[in-house]
Amino acid sequence: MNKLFKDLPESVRQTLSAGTPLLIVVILFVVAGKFGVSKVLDLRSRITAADNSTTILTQKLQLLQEVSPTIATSTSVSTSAVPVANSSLIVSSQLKTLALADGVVLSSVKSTSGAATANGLHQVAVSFTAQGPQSSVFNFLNDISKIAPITIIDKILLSENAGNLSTDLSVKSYWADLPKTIPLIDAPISDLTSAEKETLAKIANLTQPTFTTLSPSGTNTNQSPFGQ
Amino acid sequence: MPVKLNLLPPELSVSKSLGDLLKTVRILGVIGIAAFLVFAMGVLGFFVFNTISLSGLNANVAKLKSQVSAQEKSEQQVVLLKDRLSKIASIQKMPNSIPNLVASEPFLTGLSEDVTISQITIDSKSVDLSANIQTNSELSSFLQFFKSPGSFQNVNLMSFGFSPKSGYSVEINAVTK
Repeated sequence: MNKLFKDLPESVRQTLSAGTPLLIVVILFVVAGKFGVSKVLDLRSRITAADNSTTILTQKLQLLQEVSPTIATSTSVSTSAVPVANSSLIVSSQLKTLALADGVVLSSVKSTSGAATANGLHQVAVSFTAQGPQSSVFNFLNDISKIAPITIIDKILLSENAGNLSTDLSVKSYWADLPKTIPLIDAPISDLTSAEKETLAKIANLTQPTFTTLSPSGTNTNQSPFGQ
Repeated sequence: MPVKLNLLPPELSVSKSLGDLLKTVRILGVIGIAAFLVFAMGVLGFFVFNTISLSGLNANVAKLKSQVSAQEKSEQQVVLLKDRLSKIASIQKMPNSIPNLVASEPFLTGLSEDVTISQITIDSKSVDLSANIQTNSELSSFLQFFKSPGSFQNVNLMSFGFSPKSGYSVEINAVTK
């Protein structure tokens, strides 16, 4: 190799000895640029992603800590407005309680369940007849929109008979299953919008259903099982 | 006057132009090596600095994730609340007869004894009403209600009759806005 180099003409030898370092530097620049810069860029993108995650997680943590004292109440109010199970019994019970409070007599109460809609809402239709003095019936009709679960009046058929108002009503209420998934841990979460806060304030004023928890009765021994 | 001597054997000498070019190439080589060293040190330093930053950030992210995980119950409740609120918003957009009932109520509660409402059907789109009215003045005030702006978009008089015994019979279909 050395002999071969010595055999070369002087001009070629000097060109090679002067150009080789420059060529090596160019090659090093290309190699280091391609490898080193790509590594640095990859690192920068990971830093940006970690930065974003930090921002999202910080905001999420702050929001969760902020809402934590009140969220249970809000959730309870919202699940009362749109229950997680078939609401026909609750709606019927609420309507009867309301009728009693307004001095209206309910009869022919029927409820049917409909199929789920596209946004996951299941419909419950309740039809009934309400009778009573005109003012009581109007109070009752107006109060239907104030009960939980949210109930909307589909159709009203009013007729007057001997000073009393008779109303054939068809109302609809809705229930929905619980959400199946929660977002990923580093997925952003947003606070309630002003419209959502307004809705929450409205549903908080709905008349909540009252539930009675029956305690189990104690054991009773029949003292005279064969007696009269 | 100094004499420029070339003591190199002729076979070892190169032409002047090639010599100048090679000199320039050598200088460029030296500058290139220096530049590369600076570049390599810079890249290396930047790489080390970023690696340290990334490990610090990753540690912070891991800490935050564990703190968020500790609030999992609250997060579930927020998700449930938002889900319910979106469903409530879609329920509120559904057709409801209450606005029509509210629009009709002042009229229905303000009727005199000379007006008998046979039947009213109220749904989300319209109010259908049939009534018997005994006097002209009551007929006028009855129709005046539907004439007043703001209550209904369109009022159709479906039938109108008169009987000397029972007075006027009117059927109205009022379409809401």
